[in-house]
Amino acid sequence: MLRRSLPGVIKLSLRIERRAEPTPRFSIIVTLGMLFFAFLASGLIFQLLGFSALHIYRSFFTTLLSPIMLEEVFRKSTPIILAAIGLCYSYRMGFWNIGAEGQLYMGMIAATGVVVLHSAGYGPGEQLLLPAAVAASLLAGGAWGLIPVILKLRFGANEIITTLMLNYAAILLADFLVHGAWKDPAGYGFAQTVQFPASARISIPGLSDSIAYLALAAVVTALTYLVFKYTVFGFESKIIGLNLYASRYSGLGINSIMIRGVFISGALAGLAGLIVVSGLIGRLRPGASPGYGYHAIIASMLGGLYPVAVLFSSILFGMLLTSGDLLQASIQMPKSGVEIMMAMIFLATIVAEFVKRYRLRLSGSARGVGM
Amino acid sequence: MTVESLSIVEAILSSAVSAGTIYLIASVGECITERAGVINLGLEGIMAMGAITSFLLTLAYGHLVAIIGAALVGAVFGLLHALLSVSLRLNQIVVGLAITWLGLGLSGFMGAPEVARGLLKALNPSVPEYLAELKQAPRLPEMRMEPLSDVPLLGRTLFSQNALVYFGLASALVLWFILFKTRWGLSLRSVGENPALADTAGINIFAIRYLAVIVGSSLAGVAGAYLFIGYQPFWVEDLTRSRGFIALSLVILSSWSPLRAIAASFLFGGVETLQFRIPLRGFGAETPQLVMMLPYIITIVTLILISLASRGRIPAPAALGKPYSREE
Repeated sequence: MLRRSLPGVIKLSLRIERRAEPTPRFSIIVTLGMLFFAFLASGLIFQLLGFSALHIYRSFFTTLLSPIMLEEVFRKSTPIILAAIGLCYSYRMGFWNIGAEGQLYMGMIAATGVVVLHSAGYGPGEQLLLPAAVAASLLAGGAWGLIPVILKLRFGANEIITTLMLNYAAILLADFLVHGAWKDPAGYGFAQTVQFPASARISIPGLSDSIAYLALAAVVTALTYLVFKYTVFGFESKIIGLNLYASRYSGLGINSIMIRGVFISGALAGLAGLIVVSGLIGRLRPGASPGYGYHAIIASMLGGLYPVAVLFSSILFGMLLTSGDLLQASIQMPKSGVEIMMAMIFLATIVAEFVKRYRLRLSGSARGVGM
Repeated sequence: MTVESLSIVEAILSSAVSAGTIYLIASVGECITERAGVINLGLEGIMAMGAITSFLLTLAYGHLVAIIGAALVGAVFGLLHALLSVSLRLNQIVVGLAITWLGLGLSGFMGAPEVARGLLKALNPSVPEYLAELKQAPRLPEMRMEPLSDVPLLGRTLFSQNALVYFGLASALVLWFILFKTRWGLSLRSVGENPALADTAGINIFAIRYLAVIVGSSLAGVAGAYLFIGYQPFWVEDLTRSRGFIALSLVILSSWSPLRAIAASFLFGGVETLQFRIPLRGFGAETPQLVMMLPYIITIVTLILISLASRGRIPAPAALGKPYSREE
């Protein structure tokens, strides 16, 4: 608590008071206001480090102005949306899954594995290639998510640490495979796998690829909205997040709900991985994800775990990544500049939570002399 | 034991201590922070900031300024953490993650050659700028503690290291003493166990928590400086590689005691050096990725073993992670 006293005359104190439940409109205004601050603050940081803030703001908005740019924004947004929607399942239960990146990598590995098998003459034929890759990515991402949830339920292991450790394990596993067994023999020695054949790539007739990916992400978002709003599972997962102990005493099958929720969470991150290898890049190579799984964490929180809001905040992150590429090409701004903006947005999201729940009141009370 | 095998053991132990000091300095600080009831998930980012600070300041003004600078940068991040988590009572997990993020992003940005060059020029115009692009800095010199350094085995392991290794050991001893043998330490621990009671006893919860977070964060900054100038003086993106989070789990392994953190850290230092030793024996020489997974997998296994050993009752400070307010 912050207190300042003027000697002898008035005691000024800054008190933190709880507000009534914020209305949705108030929440949105506060979040947007804090976003604005985040932009100002990161602009200031860039200016201090020798980059023109105005240039950076301008390039951020140019991503919306041309159809080509917009397609790039959608392409980059899709994996973030899928992973972020997945994370909503974990976070609403109070499970701190920081592992979307690793689950996404496992999805990429599994989908690529299906294609590698296929190109070696085993496994599914042309017709079943895409469905098999989708199923493999969902299962692999989900399974990777099951490890930390089981470790938490059985051993009380902190999921923040376990999920992070599993991220590194998954990324290293992908590196291991593309440098070794899965290396494309016709790839001129580059560490990458064979290219995905057309039959293993997602497309919707009549739609450009980026719109098709976005449509898929939008469907997942809509389904999640329905699950959260209308199903027993959606209700139970929220109750667990609100009060774990009370729900345990009220006889909810916590373990089963947690396991299901985190599996879905991981599976959607795995699906995001499928989009990356089958859609965005067309093969697996080191560093295939620039951290989509991490961006998704902030996007889901910025969207307050409301699926539709998360969709939009993920697109905002797609814009940031796209403008980051632009800035790298135009003014040689290092890639991690975007990470700074995301961190500022994260901080702003947190402070927005405070502003929504509490108000600061400056109160003065007369003490001592006179008055 | 032959002289030759003795020297191999010496080499292994001494590199375990050398790598373990990264964890030691960070986890000793985190012991203090968590004993006051605050968990600092920002360690990772603060270590990265400490590392980049030490890189630039070493080139500009030398090692001493670099270490002090890294501690100060850590303190500033700690202040931010305390402001959000102690004063504004925001969720400590989210605050810590945001700080980690900021630290990783900012350090990655500052380490990029274009930016590092400009920063170095601003810090000290007389230093040639191209030094920043080489991404290297002079390593901390070895300080042999004569005559202790001549003792077989222990001499090379513990007494022929650089100054920050001794600093790590000393801070573990001093902070253990303060924490368990002084009134201050008692107050600090009571704030982490039962803040409401401590409050009625007239202890200033907010001051103690601020202090604990800032001390822990400064040490994390120094740990980052050690990681760079004391251990691996070559800048790469993601230099810390989750070591801050591993340090957090080592705090659990050492049951929140700075003294036990020494053993836990050196043990993990040993694990860390395995990734370099195993490929030398032939396994994973071409694709070392599986061996590089070891520290992460062993961290997870450690968490399981701790749980089994304590039968599910891990002696964490009772108020860990809970913001304190008088009204609620």
